[in-house]
Amino acid sequence: MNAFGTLAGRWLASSSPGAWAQVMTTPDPGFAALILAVAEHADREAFSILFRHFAPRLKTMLMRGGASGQAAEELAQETMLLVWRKAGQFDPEKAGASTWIFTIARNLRIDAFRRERHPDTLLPDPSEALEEPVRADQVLATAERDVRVRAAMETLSPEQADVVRAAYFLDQPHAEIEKQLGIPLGTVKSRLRLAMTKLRAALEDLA
Amino acid sequence: MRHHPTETTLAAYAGGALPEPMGLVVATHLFGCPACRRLTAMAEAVGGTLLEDLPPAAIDDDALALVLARTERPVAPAKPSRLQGGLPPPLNACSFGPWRRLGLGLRWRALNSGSHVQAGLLEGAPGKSLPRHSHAGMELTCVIAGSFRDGHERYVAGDLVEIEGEHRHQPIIDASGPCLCIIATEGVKFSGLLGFAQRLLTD
Ligand SMILES: [Zn+2]
Repeated sequence: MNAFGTLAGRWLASSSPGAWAQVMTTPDPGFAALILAVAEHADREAFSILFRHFAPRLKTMLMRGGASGQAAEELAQETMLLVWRKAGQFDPEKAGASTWIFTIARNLRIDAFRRERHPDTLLPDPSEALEEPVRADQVLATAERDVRVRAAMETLSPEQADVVRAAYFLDQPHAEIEKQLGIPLGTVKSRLRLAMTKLRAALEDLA
Repeated sequence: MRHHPTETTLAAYAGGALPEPMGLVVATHLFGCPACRRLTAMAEAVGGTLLEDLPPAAIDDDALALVLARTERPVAPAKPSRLQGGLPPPLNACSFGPWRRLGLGLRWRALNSGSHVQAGLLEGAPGKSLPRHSHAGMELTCVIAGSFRDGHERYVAGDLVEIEGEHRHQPIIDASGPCLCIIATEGVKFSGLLGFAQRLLTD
């Protein structure tokens, strides 16, 4: 049994449908503008606000993914350092602030995981090769998308929401859920598929 | 292009839970597929929403000061990666081993990934067929150039083939030209041609 032992269980036990619905309010209270302020004039005040909001949540996310408190703290700090350094690449027309920060942490977690197991290999970040110019009609689409994703997630059943959350934060999520909760892999996948289909349907008519 | 990754695979990719070599195969498909790029962006927005909704953990008192201090230090320039000619951008900077002939009109070039997932480029000559084989676990293939048939389906450049669990098949490369694919696999069992699997997967 690995270090991720009872994580799936803990993670799923900690989520209640009530808490889930309760937080579905405003998608972005101005975080995008703060990242732009960091990009444009190295605004330390703006960065501090971002840090106080995101660093503690990044730490929670990383701990739920199986990192120790110490490792999660370091990765959360590392993520925020990259938020500072990459702020110039942030494009609010492509991704919301929390989505952008999520992808930075995700990539760092993949890097850290690789260093742990295979210190001498280096794979490039494939998402960097996918950069493409943004069309003007996508501007509205991004903001609208975040609102709709949030709304659609509210419509998921508690079981679907659990599987989606576990799928994003656990290491080896499908196998972990199967092991910890005794939900067969096929069920895990079909719940996830249903959830994704629901989300996709909510966005169907967006660019 | 008609063959796309499943939603669960895209969600795993967006969440960072897909083994890296499999992520590269998905990225190769995304490069040529705007529809899946949109779906991936949505799946990433799900990740952003989930992050937003997490309860905050206690962080070190001096964490912000530490990070602000680090922002003042110069950043080491990234080492320029050696680019491979002729591959889609997601694979451009990857490190591959040498081409190895497998016989049967096939050659294989392993990706140096260090992962438990075997991955690499497989190129087959026109009209050749892969030995009949079966799978255990998951296998992702993205066609980079050329095309092949497998049963009633035809796969062309950009198509992604996702195989999960027990599955037997025998792809046949179209006669019009060679076919180049990037493949990541958790396990292949060849029936009939002993040693092929070892040569294919263990270098
Ligand atoms: Zn696609």
